[in-house]
Amino acid sequence: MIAIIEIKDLRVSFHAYFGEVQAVRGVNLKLGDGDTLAIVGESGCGKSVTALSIMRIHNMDATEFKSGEILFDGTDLLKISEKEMQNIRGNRIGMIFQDPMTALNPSMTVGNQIAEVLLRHGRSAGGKRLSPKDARERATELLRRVKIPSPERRASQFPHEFSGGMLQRAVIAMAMACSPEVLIADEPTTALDVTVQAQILDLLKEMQREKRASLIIITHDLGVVANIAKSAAVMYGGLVVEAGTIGDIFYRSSHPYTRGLLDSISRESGRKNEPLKSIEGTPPDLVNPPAGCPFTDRCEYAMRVCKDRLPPESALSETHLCRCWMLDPECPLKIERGKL
Amino acid sequence: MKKYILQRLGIAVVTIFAVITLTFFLMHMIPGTPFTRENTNMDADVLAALKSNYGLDKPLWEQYIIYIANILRGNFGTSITYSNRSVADIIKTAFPVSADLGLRALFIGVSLGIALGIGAALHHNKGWDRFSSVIAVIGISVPSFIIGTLLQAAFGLWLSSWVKNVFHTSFQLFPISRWESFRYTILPSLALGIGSVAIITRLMRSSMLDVIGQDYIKTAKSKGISNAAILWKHEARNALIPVVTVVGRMVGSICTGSFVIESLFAVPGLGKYYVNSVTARDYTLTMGLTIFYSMFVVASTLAVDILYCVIDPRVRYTEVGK
Repeated sequence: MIAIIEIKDLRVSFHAYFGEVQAVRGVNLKLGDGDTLAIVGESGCGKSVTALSIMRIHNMDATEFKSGEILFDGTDLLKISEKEMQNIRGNRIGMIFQDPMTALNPSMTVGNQIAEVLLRHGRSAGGKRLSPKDARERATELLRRVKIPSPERRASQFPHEFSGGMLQRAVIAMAMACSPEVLIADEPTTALDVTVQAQILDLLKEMQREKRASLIIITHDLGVVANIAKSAAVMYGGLVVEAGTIGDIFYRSSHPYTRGLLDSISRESGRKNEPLKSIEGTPPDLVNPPAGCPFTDRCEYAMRVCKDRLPPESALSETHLCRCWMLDPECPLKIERGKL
Repeated sequence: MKKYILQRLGIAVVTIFAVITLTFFLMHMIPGTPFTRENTNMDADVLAALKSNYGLDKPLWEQYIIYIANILRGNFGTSITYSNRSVADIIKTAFPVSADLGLRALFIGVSLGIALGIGAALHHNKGWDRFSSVIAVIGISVPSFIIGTLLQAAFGLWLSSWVKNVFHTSFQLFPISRWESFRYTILPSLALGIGSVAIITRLMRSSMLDVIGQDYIKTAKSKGISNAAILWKHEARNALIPVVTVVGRMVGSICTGSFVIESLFAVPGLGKYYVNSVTARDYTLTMGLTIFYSMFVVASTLAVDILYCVIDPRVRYTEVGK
């Protein structure tokens, strides 16, 4: 597998008035060319920060990249200049945001907002920059492509005249306008009606296939993961606690947190009146992150070592990684892979 | 849209009518007459003759009806204190001067305010932000006549005495009184405008900070467009929307004359007439100026509302039930 994006030991901190928030504390991730990687985890576990770091679009005054590299096609994105980064954004890496209702400029027509990215990066067949008229035409074409009815009329409308699902289609059209190699979708369906979510996922898959893009999808919805991703990384407390293929995560999950997440899914087959399971407690405070495994306080298998030392990443197979002391050869609690 | 404007014009007529009625009766409730201060022991016959000359001997309701009828015919009457000048004539000569001064002050306020506000927001909590805060606090808390007086002292006294000592001429770069050429307009415009600079700076700053934190700015960044394009096309444009409302309201008050600045710099504008007409109980002039002032305010408010539709597409006045 050739990796198009490889994140190595990424550490990102925010400087807030109450101290340094260590949002990402040493993340390793790989996105295979043409692959779909899901980053899963609850709020505040560092998944969005990881993805935004690839684009380098958080508030740069307060953000500090402590260490690590983000290799995109061989270039370290953390080392290049802001100008070079601008040439990559929207052109070779596209991004889709969580809430389409706020993701578009309210005082600019949807067509113009799509045309803007085309004017910035787009080239005609002859390699020349696009004229405003060509860009407008292409934008309308893109709206048609993402199945927005009467795209000519829609292109000259403003965001408030669209529904949420329609807007997310327009945002997808915008992110895909320059046929980027990588697409990052930060919870693309969370803010949408349940009935619209599946349509948007289908559209994403379709566009990904058509443009042969690699996709990183950030979500806390395991249903979305199963639907769209080939591999997944489960994040907790600023760390990747388990990563693997969809099969590894869903059928052979070895981390107590991943198991907890899977157990918390509501199932049709569940017995009547059985309360929905949940993981007790809250994620750790990342201003003073715990020395050991961040999940210790909520883990039913926690041992003394868990509190004191961070477990290393152990490889369970070529694709499957997990950070848990129970996988240590010296652990008295012998577990089989996938069974706790 | 057409229906909306017509509706607003209808409301404007009612508003102005209410203003006329209120002012008319309030004016006449003030003790004394226009002739009170001329001579305390004026002959009763003379006073009666004067009153009947101006129609002030009739009952109040009759005077009111006559006045309304005159206004509807476009006749605002003659001033009582400036006995040979009609109210319309006074407005015609003095208003352009006030409006000129007002527009210059407004220009200073808007351009400086927006620039300082954007700068403050981009350098949030740094030197530039602190600097513009200081300007804003000064502009809001120091009354314009103090700023005006300080400007006069600086340019009319200190600078000109220095010029006299060094170059031996009495040339004044920015004269401190009268309203003749461009050089004369600088100081009064500055003194009148500094208050609006302060208000607009604060507003633009908070509005920009709000916009910068919006999701769509992240989207714009994710498209790879340059910081300058993000600033002008996405941030400043959206941040200007609330500023337009405030500027619209300023137009009304700033262009109809400032008594303080106009008397300080001997500018022949409306402000002087307005204040004098009240103290002299010059009924016709006060009424005429009030009507003019309220029409101006109503018109500028309407203009802002229409402008709003243009710059903020979310505001479209659709008829109910359609």
